[in-house]
Amino acid sequence: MSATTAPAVARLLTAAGDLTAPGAVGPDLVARLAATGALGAMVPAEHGGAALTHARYGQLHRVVAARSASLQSLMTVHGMVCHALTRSSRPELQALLPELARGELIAAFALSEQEAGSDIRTITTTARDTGDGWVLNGRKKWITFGAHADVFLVFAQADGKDVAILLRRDDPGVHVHPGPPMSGLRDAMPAELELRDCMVPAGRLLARPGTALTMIAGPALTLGRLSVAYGAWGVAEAACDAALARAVDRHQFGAPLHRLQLVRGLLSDAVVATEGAGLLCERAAEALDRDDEWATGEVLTAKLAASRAATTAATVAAQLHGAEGLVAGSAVDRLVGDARVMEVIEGSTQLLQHLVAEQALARFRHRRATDRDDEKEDDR
Amino acid sequence: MSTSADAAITESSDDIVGAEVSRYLARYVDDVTLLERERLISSGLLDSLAAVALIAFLQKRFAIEVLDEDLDLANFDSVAQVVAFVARKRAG
Repeated sequence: MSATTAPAVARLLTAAGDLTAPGAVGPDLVARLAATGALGAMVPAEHGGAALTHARYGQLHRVVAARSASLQSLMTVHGMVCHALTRSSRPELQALLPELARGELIAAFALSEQEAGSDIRTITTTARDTGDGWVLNGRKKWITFGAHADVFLVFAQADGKDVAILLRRDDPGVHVHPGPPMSGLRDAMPAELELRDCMVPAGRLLARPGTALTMIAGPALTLGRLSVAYGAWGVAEAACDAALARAVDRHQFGAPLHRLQLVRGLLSDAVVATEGAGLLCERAAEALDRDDEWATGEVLTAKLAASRAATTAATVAAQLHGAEGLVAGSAVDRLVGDARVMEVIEGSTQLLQHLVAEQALARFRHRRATDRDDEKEDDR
Repeated sequence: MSTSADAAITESSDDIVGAEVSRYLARYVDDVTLLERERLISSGLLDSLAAVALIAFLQKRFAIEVLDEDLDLANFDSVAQVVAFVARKRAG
C-alpha cells in the first residue's frame, strides 16, 4: 500500500489519465484509490484505517476533487458511513470497518427522500421492530454512488423514533435503481433505493431508536460538510487554474485576455474567494482536530464559503472560455456543474446560511456573557 | 459528621453543575429564563447541532462518558434532568 497522503493520491490520479472519459471513474479506479488507504483515511488504526487527522483527510478531498469531483464524492459518503460505524459502538458493525477501510466494501449514505431534503425529520421510510430484527419499507433518493455501493446507511422511522440501520445490497427486499443523469458529479453513479419488506437482523441498528438523526446523521454530516468544503476548494482551485490559463493563452484585441481590466476583476474575484475558502477549510479541520467547542460552526462556515467559491471560480472560468465554455461536458462546463452540486449536497447554501447565522449568534451571546462576567470580576 | 458533609458537597456540586449547564446553554437562547421554563429539546429550544454540542460539553466539562444507552430524552430535556444525569454518571 502506498502512503495515504495527498501527494501520493494526486500522483495516482495524474497517472490515471483523463478522469472525465466515460467509465474512467469506475471500480478499477476506485480500487486503485483504495490501495492508497484513502477510503479508510479516518478509520481508527485498530479497525484497519489510516487514522488521519481532519486536516490531512481534507487535503485528500481537495486533490481528488480537483481531478474528479465525482470520485471525491465517493470518498465523502463512504467516509461518512465509516465515521458513523466507528462511533456506533456496535461490535458487529465495527467488524465491517476493515473491509470498508480497504475499499472492499463501498458504502453509501441513504437519508434523502422525495419529500425529505433539508428537513430530514420528515423522512417516511419505516422500520418495524420484529423483536429479532427490522423490516424496512420506503424509498431513498439522491444516493451518491448508490449504483456502486455494497452497503447503505439508511435512516428511517420506527414508531415515531428515528433509527439508522445498515443494509447490504444483497439483503432481501433491497432494490437499487439508477438515478437520472445529473448536470454535476456526472460520474457519481447516483441511485434510488427501494425497500420492500426488507428484512435485516437486529444487529444492524446503529444506535438507540430516537437518536439516529441527531447523534448519527448529525456528526456524519459535519464530517461530510468538511469533506465537501475541501472538495469545493479543490474544484475552485481547478477553476482558477482554468481561468488563469485561458487569460494567458487566449488573445483578443491583440493581447492576452488578462490585459483587460474587466477580466482582471473576474480573476481576482475567483482567486480571493478560493484562497479565503482554503483558509476557512484549514481552520475548520484544525478546530475538529483539537476538539474545539466551536468546530461545528467552523465547518459550516467553510462549507458555505468553499461551495460558493467553487461557483464563483467555475463561473469565471466558464465565462472566460466564451462559447467554448458552453460546450456540454467541456472541462469548465463540468466545473460549473460540480460547483452547483457543492452548493446543494450535505446542506444547501440556504440551510448552511441558517446554521452559520445560528452559530454566529451563539458565539456572540457567549462572548457578551463572558465579557459581562469579566466586568463583574473587575468590579470586585 | 461525614454524611452531612458529603451531602453538602453533593448539593453544592449539583448547583455548580446546574449553573454551568445553564451558562453553557445561554448561548442558544435570547431569554435565559426559557431554559428553566421550556423543555430543552422536545420544545425545539435546542436544535440537533446544539443537542450534540451539549453532550460534547457535558463529556468534557464533567469528565463523564455519555454512552448510547444514556441517550434518552429524559436525561436531557431540562436543566434539572441534565444535572441529575451528570450526578448519576459521576456516582458511577
